[in-house]
Amino acid sequence: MGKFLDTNVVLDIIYPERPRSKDATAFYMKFKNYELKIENQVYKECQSLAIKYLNYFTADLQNFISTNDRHSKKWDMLDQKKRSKLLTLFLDNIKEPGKNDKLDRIPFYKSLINLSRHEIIYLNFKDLKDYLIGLASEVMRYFRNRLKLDLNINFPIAL
Amino acid sequence: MVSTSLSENIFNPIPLKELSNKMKKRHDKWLPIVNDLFDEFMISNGDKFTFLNDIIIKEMEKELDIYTMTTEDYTNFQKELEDLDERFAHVNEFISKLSPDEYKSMITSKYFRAAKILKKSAASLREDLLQKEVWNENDGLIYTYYVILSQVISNLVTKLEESSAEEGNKLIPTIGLVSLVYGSVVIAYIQDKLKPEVLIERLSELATFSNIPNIKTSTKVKKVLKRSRKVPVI
Repeated sequence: MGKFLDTNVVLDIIYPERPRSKDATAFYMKFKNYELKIENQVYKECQSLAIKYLNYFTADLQNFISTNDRHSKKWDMLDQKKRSKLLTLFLDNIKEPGKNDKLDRIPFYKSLINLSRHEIIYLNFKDLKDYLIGLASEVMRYFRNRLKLDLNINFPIAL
Repeated sequence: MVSTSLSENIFNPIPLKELSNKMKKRHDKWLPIVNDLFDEFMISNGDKFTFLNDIIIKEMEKELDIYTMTTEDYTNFQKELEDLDERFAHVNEFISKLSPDEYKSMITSKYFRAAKILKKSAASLREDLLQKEVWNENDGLIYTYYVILSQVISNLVTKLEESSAEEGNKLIPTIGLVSLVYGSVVIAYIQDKLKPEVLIERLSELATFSNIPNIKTSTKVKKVLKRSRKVPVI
């Protein structure tokens, strides 16, 4: 039979910076030795939340780099250490929108920056855009791999 | 919004170009109809092209997804086309007289071509996005959408190519609807009518259904990243 994961549990597991819900943690601790399963609908909901925030992220990051006083040309002139500091400043400046989803903006951005900081700081602005173009598929693949490998989830349908 | 456009309506399920290519002398009566329909509705040079695109965009807003589509939904769309121009009814009548193998071969070649055009168009879209100073809503996801949609269409057509006549009969409406409903997102993006929530919903449906495409970064980015991995993280 196995145990079906709900959206909150999946997001808690995949995004370490997300404030964990007590119920989800309790569920996972209780059933982590069972066969874990995920329904298409839950998987799709998690994917769409991740994609939604990724879409905000790519626009916010580019706006931050290109519109404030440290514009894109300056980004290209900064060394990796300074770019890394700028990314931290970017995170500090992000405001959580009033209405929250199951996945909050700031924790998601933190997860994303933690996963890709090393790549971002090495790229000039044009190459960074090229990197961001493929980031949605990276995030979706990361998400699927975590579920597949860490939780041994059997996937819904793949062609 | 990026300017990348499709000069041909590749998502309409009737294989007009393929029909025209395969028609022989004995089809003298049909050939002008097929060619006129192609020129009027499929090529971006007039009101009828825009009108058909608008009909296709309406498909995007229907509650149809890759898991729940039925043959009836496909037939309904065909009826809409016939209401738009009765010549489509004549063409559908002609198609119904083709042998299953002939029809399958036309659909296969139509959608292989559609996937190829979409892939080529994705490459220009990528160039446009790189040139754009700041991205708007949808810009961060649309390239992935183009790639995943062309991959889904290609995979379905490969499956059709390898299928029996009976399996093919079931697959053809599926390919037609997938291309129509998910292709409408591409048309809406080009026309600047795409709502971010629709793109997000449709992209996550495709990503749930399909393998996630591996989007290659440029050689330059690849080199930078390869070099960067040799340096310790700060």
